[in-house]
Amino acid sequence: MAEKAGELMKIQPRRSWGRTVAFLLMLAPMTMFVLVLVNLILNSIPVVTEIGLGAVFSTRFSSFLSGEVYMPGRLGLYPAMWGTFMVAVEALIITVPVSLAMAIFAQEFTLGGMGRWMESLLALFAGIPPIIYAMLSLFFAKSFIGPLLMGADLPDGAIYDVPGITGENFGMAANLNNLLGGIFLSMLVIPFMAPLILDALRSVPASLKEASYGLGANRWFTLLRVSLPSALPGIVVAVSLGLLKVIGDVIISIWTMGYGRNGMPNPLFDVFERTSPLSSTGAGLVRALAGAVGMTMQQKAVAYFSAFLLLVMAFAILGLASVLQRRLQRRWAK
Amino acid sequence: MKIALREEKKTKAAAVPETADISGGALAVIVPALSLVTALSALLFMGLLLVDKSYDAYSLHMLGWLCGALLLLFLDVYRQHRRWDWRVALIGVLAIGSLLARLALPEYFSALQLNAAIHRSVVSMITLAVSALPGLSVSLYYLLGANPEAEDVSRYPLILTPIVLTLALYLVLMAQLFASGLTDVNWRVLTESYANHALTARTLIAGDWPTWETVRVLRIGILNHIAGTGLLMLLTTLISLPVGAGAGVFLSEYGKNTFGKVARFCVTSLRAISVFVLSLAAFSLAHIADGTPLENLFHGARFDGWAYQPTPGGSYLVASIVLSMLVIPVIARATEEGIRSLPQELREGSLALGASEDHTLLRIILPWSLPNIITGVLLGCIEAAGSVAVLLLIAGRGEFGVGIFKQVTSLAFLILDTYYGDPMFLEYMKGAQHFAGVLLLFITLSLGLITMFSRRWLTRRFRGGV
Repeated sequence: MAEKAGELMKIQPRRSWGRTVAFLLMLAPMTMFVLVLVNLILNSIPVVTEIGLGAVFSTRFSSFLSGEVYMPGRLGLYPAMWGTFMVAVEALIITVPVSLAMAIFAQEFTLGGMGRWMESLLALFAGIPPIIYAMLSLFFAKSFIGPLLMGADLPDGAIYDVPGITGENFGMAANLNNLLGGIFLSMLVIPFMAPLILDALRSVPASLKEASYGLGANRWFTLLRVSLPSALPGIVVAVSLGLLKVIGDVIISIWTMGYGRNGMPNPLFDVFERTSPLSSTGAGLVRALAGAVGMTMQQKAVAYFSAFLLLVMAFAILGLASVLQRRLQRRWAK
Repeated sequence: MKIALREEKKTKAAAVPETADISGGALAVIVPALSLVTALSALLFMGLLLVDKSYDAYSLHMLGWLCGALLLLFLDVYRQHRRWDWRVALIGVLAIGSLLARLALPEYFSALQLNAAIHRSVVSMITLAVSALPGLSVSLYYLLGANPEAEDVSRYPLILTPIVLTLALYLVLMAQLFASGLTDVNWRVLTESYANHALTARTLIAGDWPTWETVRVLRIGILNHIAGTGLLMLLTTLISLPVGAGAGVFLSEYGKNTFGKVARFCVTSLRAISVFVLSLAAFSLAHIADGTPLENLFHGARFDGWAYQPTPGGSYLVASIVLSMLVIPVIARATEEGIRSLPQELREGSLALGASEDHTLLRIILPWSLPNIITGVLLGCIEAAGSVAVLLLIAGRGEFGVGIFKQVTSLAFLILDTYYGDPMFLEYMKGAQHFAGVLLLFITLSLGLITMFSRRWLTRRFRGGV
């Protein structure tokens, strides 16, 4: 009797095929992600087994592109990692103030209705693909840097011939340098980062701001002491996402910073030298060698290993950002 | 608690009445106005330096003038208020800083012998901006009467200058692109598809055996690149729309358990991995079936007159699968946002009327989130049209037609190819390279405009104007 009552009481959930379909569809991106990871790791195993990490973490890199003879030991990625770091710092210095100014202009310090226009303009610019910015960098070289360079004698480090990109293609000689890359990567990132910061500013509770105004504070004081600290967790995440875009980009890096580099820049922080980042070094290795010469397993492994390093960097940045975000949120909650 | 205490301290400090006797007379207007004009002209010179390096000779003079004006302002403000606060200190620091820069810059340039012009101009620009912008803001503050409203107004230069400079950079460069692209407009190029290869053709001469001879095909045009862009957008949407929407539904409806957390981590990580990783993934995917009969499908086949041969690159299918890795997180996020904005009453009302879970999903939840999904799809189309990194290692020139199992190509890749390809290709495409850029920009910008303007209409259509 009791058994029967228990059976009756058991609520049978109706079979839901929506749940099953959604689950199956969810498996697809998860599989993709796992496969991408496995692919990277499997292909970069020869770096440890055949080349040795010591050779990869050195400053000696023969680019194979400028007519150099291939030398087995010369696959060091330190210059490329340094290039990634420098470009990331340059892009941060440019993007963070500009994106902050744009977000503040769109939300707090609107001049009439111009803040709204700013927002639409950013949404429009956000769709411009990187290849267009890469093209624009040539025009930049002609119209902004070009006049600056006229008649100036450049040091040896400033002009490089990268096969495939001859001087004529670039109009004003090869202006391949790290700063150019920083500027154009920031142009790519600003329309992406500013709306995120704007969202963070929007999510500040109105009650906080109203309390501040009610106590007699002006707009600037409210922005500095109330809105920005309260939006800081969101801003940190926005900046980290922008940073991921900067270090991962290939096309703009190839056009503005070239393929690879042997030895560190001298002086170390010389932004006018061509110090190409990890992404374009790896992509250049594969692209230049895949078709024409046929690549050796070592070069392929180094290309995959550079992608693996990028992935590790990206996860480190994301993790750091989320830890920072949590701590900031907790501080504000207190 | 600590913060509250600190705030209390601050309010106490603010409660001390300021010695606000603005009895400066005419000087209180003239001096700030003078420094305002000086700072403005310094900024103007900074802008000129961007265009022409020969102005960097004047930057030293501008620094000197700026130093003088700021020093005057410093003395005048101190005379009026007779007290130290951070503004007065800032003016003093700026004045002394610009004086030091004025004195040190020539020494710096002559001592370093660096790449002369570019280095000198950049350093002068930065020095001018660093001293002129805060100077402008502070002098505006004192000119307007040194009250809280004046402070708000005086911050506009600080906010507007970076915005104006950045937008000017965007607009000037894009105008140049348009100018050079529109002079390239060439209808013949637009209506032909590119081909440059040798074919083995069978020719029949009457009364003789059929003979085989090699025919060279050369057509110059970008029609196949345009069609390829369209096909790429279509395929990517077809793959990523169901998967992305399904993933979004799963994450927001059924994703509260551990598996949901893992799934969310995977989708977030797909957003985070760089496009370079994806370009290598595409390379690997194209080579996955080497040596098997499926090789042609992954590599993209070409017909050379005898048989189908695999190309060294990858097919549209490979490219769109990898592109959908970029697009799926976008659509999933958009779907999630749409579902999150669904009012709880609608869902509960549907369930209360006896509708099943599936019925609620199909008739209530999905229609409600449709505007967001469509926006996500449009954003994904923009991504697919403009992405080169994924195609970087697998794309070709589309000489053998456009189809799912042909070698992939697109407008965006054409632009890369015209600069990095072989010299002959560059010669052929000389008239089309900037035009392709303008076309791509036109496609992406119009898709962006459609996204912006369709949102309101879609909301009215699917949410009853909420």
